[in-house]
Amino acid sequence: MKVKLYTTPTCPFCTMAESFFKENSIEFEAVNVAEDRDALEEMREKSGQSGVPVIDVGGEIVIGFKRGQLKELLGIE
Amino acid sequence: MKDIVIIGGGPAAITASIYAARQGMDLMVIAEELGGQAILSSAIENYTGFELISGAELIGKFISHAEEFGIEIKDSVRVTDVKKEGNSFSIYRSDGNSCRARAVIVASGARPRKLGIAGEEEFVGRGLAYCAICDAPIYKDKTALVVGGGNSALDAVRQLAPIAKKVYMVDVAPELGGEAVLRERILKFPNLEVFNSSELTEIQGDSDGITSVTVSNPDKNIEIKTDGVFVEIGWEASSDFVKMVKKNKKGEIIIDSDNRTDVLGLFAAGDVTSVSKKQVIVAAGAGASAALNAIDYLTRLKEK
Repeated sequence: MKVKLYTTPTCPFCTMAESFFKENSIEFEAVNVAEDRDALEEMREKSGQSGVPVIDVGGEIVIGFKRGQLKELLGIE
Repeated sequence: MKDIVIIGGGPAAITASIYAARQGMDLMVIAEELGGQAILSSAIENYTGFELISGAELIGKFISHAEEFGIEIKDSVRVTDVKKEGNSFSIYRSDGNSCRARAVIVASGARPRKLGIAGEEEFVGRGLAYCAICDAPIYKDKTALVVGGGNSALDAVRQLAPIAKKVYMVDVAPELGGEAVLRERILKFPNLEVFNSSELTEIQGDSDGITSVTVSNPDKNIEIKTDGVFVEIGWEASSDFVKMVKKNKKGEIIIDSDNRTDVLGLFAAGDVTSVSKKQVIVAAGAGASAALNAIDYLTRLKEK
């Protein structure tokens, strides 16, 4: 499943999300929406949000860092 | 029925869960959001054993530590009510589920204070932010407005002004507060405009997000065009879901030196309580105390 994390360099919830993916050996792509305006626009279209983090888990959109929801979507015990 | 349900996801709640799990308690942690206020701190330099660590990293360590004990953490779920029936509690949740416990520890911390004005709820996450450290970098070459005049508002301006086209600050006080050094530093930004003795009264926008706000002072109302609004007007105890317990005027739960509330079997710890010192290490210690006292209470309950 493709996981995309929309992030900024200073966002602590994004840092936690990254650690969470690494701990659980989940491959993910992180895009910095502060620099990449196309990614910011893509994030807005997908989520209606202009704040980070937004996480796209195989098409399901998670707003904020929500471990419970991510575990469910990724099938982590 | 659980032995203990812990409500919250910050240092007090997580520490309480570790102490309770180590004593063999059957427990559950319910948190609207993991991390608490500590996560927003980019540098913690006063947590014993760590000379310098970010809030996110420290909280990450707390959570990993709790997971070592197989503690069940339900996050993304809000507790809507806590009721006592006989010697046990019912805990009602935003997902429609409820659970029962013999003892409850409320460690739900504090949340950013809201403006309570038209447009606020509508534009949360669509230009209105309570986390400057998260979203400030998005405002490169854009216009942002910060509400507040204390340290967190000054800090938001410090992050925004170097990259944004224009930054406004709206503060109810006649002069900005916060630390003098930080205040002097931000007042040097040429693209900063400060409205003292003023308040935000309305947020306007469209389907793309915020377009403008109304700033009011005793003389006039001014409409200001802005792409974003950062609300930095302090924190308040996140205690309104627990109605039966005694609180102070600030909404903080009143506790004794053993973290007991006025309801038998209901304990509280951390920034949601009336303790005057709101620190990560104080909250963690309070979580330990609440858990140990809750276990004592449960032991006595069984002996009866």
